[in-house]
Formats: sequence, structure tokens, C-alpha cells
Amino acid sequence: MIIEQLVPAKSPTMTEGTIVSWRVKPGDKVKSGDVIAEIQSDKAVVEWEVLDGGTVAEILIPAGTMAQVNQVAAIFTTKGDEDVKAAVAKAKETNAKLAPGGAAPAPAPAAVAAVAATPVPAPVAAPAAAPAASAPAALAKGVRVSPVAAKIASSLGVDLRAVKGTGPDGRIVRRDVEAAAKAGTAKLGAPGGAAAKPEKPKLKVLRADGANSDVAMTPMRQIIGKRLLEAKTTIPHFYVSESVDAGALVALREQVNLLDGFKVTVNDLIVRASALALRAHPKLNATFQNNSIRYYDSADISVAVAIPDGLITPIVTKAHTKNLKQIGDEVRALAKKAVDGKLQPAEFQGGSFTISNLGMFGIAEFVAIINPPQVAILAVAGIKDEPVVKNGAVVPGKVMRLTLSADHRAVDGADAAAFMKTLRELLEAPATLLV
Amino acid sequence: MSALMAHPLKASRKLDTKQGDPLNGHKGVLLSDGNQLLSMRMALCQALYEEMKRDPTIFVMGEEVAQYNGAYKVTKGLLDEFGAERVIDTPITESGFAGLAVGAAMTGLRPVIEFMSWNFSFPAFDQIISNASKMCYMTGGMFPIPLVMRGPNGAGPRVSSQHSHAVEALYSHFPGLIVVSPSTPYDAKGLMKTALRQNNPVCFLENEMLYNYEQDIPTSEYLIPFGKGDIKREGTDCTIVAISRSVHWALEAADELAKEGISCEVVDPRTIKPLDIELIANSVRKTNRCVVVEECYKTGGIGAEIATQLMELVFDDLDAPVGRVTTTENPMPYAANLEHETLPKPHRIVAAVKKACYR
Repeated sequence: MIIEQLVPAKSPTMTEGTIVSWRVKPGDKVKSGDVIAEIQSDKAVVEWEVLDGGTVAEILIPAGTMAQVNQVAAIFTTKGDEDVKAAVAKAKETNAKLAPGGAAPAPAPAAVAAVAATPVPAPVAAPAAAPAASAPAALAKGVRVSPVAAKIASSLGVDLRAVKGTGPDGRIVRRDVEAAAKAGTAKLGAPGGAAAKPEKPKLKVLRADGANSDVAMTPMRQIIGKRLLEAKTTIPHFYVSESVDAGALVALREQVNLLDGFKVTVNDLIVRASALALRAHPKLNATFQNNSIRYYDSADISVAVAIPDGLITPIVTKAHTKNLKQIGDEVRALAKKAVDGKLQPAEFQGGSFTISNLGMFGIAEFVAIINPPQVAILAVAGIKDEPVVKNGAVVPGKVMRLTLSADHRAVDGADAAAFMKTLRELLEAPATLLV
Repeated sequence: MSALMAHPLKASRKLDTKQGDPLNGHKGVLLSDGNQLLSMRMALCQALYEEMKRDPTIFVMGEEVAQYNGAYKVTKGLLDEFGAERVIDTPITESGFAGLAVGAAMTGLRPVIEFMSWNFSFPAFDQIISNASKMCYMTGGMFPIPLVMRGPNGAGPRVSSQHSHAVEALYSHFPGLIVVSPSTPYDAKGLMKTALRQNNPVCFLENEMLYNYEQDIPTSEYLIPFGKGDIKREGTDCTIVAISRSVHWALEAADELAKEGISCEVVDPRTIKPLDIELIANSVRKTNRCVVVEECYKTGGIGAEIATQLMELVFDDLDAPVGRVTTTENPMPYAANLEHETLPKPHRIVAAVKKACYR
């Protein structure tokens, strides 16, 4: 039987992804449940376990290539006598249909072509020809060298990259290495010698518009763009800001961290406070489901984490049941996984409320875009030394500004204000977070 | 030191016919230095003679081996010496006398059968492949087959497509056979004596065009073990592995190449199975280049086998792909000029060595 292995959607929002690496090659036998590849979804690099085992007959989407969900990535067989050729032809047809733009078989080259087709006016004549000239160079084969030439090169201290081959197709042969050793023209690691700078320095082409380069969006950037554009343009956001006197909070944190093994952060305290406030104001602990609003008992708090070229929101589940240490340990573990690209889908899909904290940059105030289908997101700014009024007197204080963005379809201003009031009260009397 | 270097070939020298009938028979021409001058056919005859004297179980059988003294006179004088019981003329029945020989070997005799040409071994193919080479195995070692099958192999002078086959690759393919193909009288005698003293079937591949090659060889007894090759010429730039008649072409090519400053080492494996691959590999470790010359065809030839084994053993010592000079893959033409181009002659060897040396 021919089995087509289709590119799976590894997250609910994934429509395309990059096959990062294949763990199998043609001829390998694969059992159900085996991991055959790693796929970069819009959120993370995830393992692809197959349901149907078989023998790998053909891999159609090479590693490093962008693939559309449901394209045929590989063809397996269960017996030896199947017509793999026909299956491959059919799969290629399917893949071409699913490729962006329909018939275009390879999405990535198409995109490159589009960029090349609308060139920036060339400021200098020579650089205009540069891309064309560099193309064959990229295709040029590596150094060809006979086995014995390679073997004696290191013992003679000859850098093969600096040797000109005189064999067929420029193959470096024994006599070339011996001649180079005799002449001393290609000494291994010679400072300033030919070996030290085997590659020509790349000339930077100045563009008339001053731009540096056009970089294709990664799958993650594309999905961030798509989802947040949708959120910002379709959700009726409104914002409620509050200043919190964070003096007690900072003091508490310092005291707690005197304990061995404790490294509680302001963010951990805010996650804990938010969880308690969400339990008190369940209208904000919800998701918007087109014609209904789904409310949650559990405060599953998504924490926005910056990762290289993007962000992701791993979830502290049941945050209302966890103490500060548990929350802190969990957030740090999730953040590390996020940065390493190792988060599992269950660890970042879902959540009932999001916290975005830019406090570590000392930001005075900011507002965040709701993370759909959630109905609210809390933007946390930095704690600033500011004068505050206490008992009718102006005294030095520590102030933190919080801004809640809420979806007016699910939440009204009074609900949001009540939530923020509770949150402020909890943070200003932080002993409440310890019980 | 190589036997060839110690006892150089004298292909051009004619044996002095005044001393009896030295072109044929087992008696060599004694030389003042204590050596004897023997042609290839005489060396083979001498080996048979000496061993038949030594071992009464050895007998010779084949078409015209007795009264006619052999089609190529290799058995000259044996009938007179040992009688019709031990030197037997057969009808033209290769399959028959090959089978007879296998049976005789099973009873403890040591038959030597002559194929007038290895081209005629094909009717006996089943006896050779299925019986001679398998009997010892099939009987759990009860019946070893001490059988020597001998005769000229490879192209003769313009004998066209059916009579020019080289069978070394063919018979080397099957387990159970020893395949020997000497290039000099010295090697032929030493290897034939070894063949007559061991217990496995041997395909002893001679060459019609070498029967007249002459060499001064010792009068004292010597044997050459199987699986031991010989360096026929020492060199530093390229190893030429050659078999039987090709050895002489390789030596000719090496002379030619020396004029152009390319020093060739000519290695003669002497036995193709077992093959002295270590000798060849050691030579290639020194020269880094190799060309194999043989009279078999390229596809599945001995060169293919040697090239593969070299790749496995000394890949990192190779400076160039192993070259192969073989009989071109066509039926042997009758026309002399075409036959010349078909065989692995020196001009083709020179070209292959130059290619391997990037010259």
C-alpha cells in the first residue's frame, strides 16, 4: 500500500511550516509513532510522529524547505511492489496545487523571483550585474581533491583551499600538493598568506534608498503579523490603566528572596495577583467564541516571552492554585524552552488571559494587543521611583503602571475597572499573595 | 628479488636446436652458470615430468596429449616415459574426460587434464563448476579433488571470436577453484609443481603466445606458493597489475613510459584466486596510482575486482581512479589490425597510465 505522509498542522493556526530536518531517509523502516521529521510551525519546532508506518520510499520536501499543510512530504510503502513513480507524480501534482499561487511548485523560489523582478534602481552599473554573477558561484562545486592528495596535504602543512588543481575538472592531485609544499605558497594557517584569506571579502552594495537588505519573513513573523493584524482590526479594544504603589511589593520580594532557593520576580507576583483577581472577576477569564463567550474556572495565564525574531506565550496553567515559587520555577522553565524552540504545542496553545511585561526595560507605560480568542491582556510597565501622596503628604514612592486591554464584545468598562481595582489592592497589600 | 629480475626473459633468443630437440620436452638446455634455458612449454613439461616421476598417482589425459605429444607439445615425451596408462588420449569429449577426471580424483588419483584450449572447457563447464569445485564441500570433506585442468587461455594469433576467450574472471567467480595464470617459464614450473602437490581443483591458464618465451631458470627444485604475486619491474609512479601475456605488454609499456619519465611498477599476481591483494595494495601505497591490464572483458573482469579491493584497502592512498585496460567488449575480430586494437596492447596501457598520472 502507498501511504502519503501529509504535512500536519502542528498548531490550530498553522497553515505552513518549514521541515527543519528529516530523521528518516529513503529505505528506512518506520513504525507507527516514530518521529520522522522536525517541523517549524508558526509557534515552535515540533516533532512529527507518524500514524502509519511503512518503508520510506521517497522524500518530496527536502529539509529546510517551506511546506504547506497537507502537501505530501514523503511517500511510504508497505510492500515492495508498489508503483512509487506513479505515487510520486501524483503527489507532486497535489503539492503544486497546494503551493501558494496554485500551480507554482516551489513557493520559496517564487518569492525570491518576485523580489528580483522589482529591483531597486541600480545606483552603480557594476553591482547590478553582481547578483547574476554570484549565482553560478553559489552553485560551484567544492574543492575536488584526490584521496592521497588530501591525506598528504595536512602532513605537508598545505592548505588545500589555496592550491590550484591540475587534474581533470581542477582536481587537486598529489603533484599539486607537493608543488605547493615545495613552493610554500599554501601554508596551513599562515598569517596573511593565501590560506588566511581564501574567500574574497563580500562587497556591500549600496542601495539608492539606503535600505540594507530584504529579508523574507520567517513563518513565525508571518503568523504574528497575520494574527495581530486580525486582532487589532477586528476586536473592539478598550483600555483601562491603573497606577500601583509598588513599595510594599518590592519590599516583599526582597524579603521572600532571602529564603534559600527563592528567586521570585515582580512578574511572578503579578501572575499570582492576576490569577487571584481573575478568580474574583471571571468575566475577564474568558475566550470569545464568535456567538458565545466561554468562561473558565481555572486561571491559565499566558506569559509573553520574547524569543529570537518573535514571541511566544507559554502558559502557567491553574496559576491560582500555585504558590509564588511554583509559578516562578514554571515560568523560567517555560521561557527557557521557548527560547530553545522546544515548547510542546500543549504548553503554548490555549490560556485564558495574557500578561505582557516590559518592566525589565523600565518602560513607563504601554498598551498591548489582545491575544485572541482571549478577551483581555495586561500590559505591565516598569517600577519607577516617583513622588506619591500618602496621608496628605508627598513622599518618595515606587509606582508601576498597568494597562488592561479588553474586548468590548465580552467585557464592559465596569468589569475591567473592577478587575484592575482588585489587582491593585492585591499588589499593594502583597502579603495576600502569600496565602 | 623477482624471478624475472634474477632470470630475465629471452623472448628473442632461439634455443640451440643442435642439442637434441630442445624446443620440446622436459629437458632444458644446461648453461655454464648452472642454470638451464627453458621455454614456457618446456618448463611446464618439466614440471609434469618431475612430479610424475615423484608421484605415481599423477596421470595426464586429454585430446592428443599422448601420441601427438600435445597440440602445443607441452606433454612431449611423457607417453614414452610413463606409458599409455598414465598418458591417455581421449576422444573429443571435454565434458566426458572432465567428469572422468573428477571421478578419478575421488578415488585418490591425481589427474591432469588438458583442454586443447580453455575455449573448449565450456562443454565441460558443468563438470568443473558443479562437480570439481563442489565435491569436497558436498561430501563434507570426504572427497577432495586434486585435479589440475590446464591448457592455453586467451587470444591466439588470429583465431577469431570463438577461440580467443580469456576465462580467468569466469572461473575465479566460483568458490572452490584455484585459478593460476603464469607469465614466465620460471613461474609456470613452480606453480605447476605446487598445483600437483595440493588437493584442490586448479584451473591452470597458460597462454599460447607465451609457449616460446625462454628464460634461464634454476636446475634445482623450487615451488611457488599460490596467492603470492611477484613484482616483475620496480617503479615509483604507477602500479600496473597485469596477468599472463598482459605482463609482457605491461613491461613493454613500462619501457615506453620510462622514456617519458614515468616509472612503472609491474605487479604479476600469478594466481588470480587466491589473489595477492596485499602485494598490489602495498605497491599502490607507494605509487598512489594503479592500472590493471587483463585479457578478460571489462564488465565483471579481474580489473573490476582489483579496483574494488584497492578502493576498500587503500582508498586514501589513491591519487587517481584505478584504470582498466581490458579486451574491448566485442567478439574478437579476425582481422589482424582489429585484433590488435581489441587486445590490451602496450599503446593502450601507455595511454591509461598517462591518464592515471595526469599526464
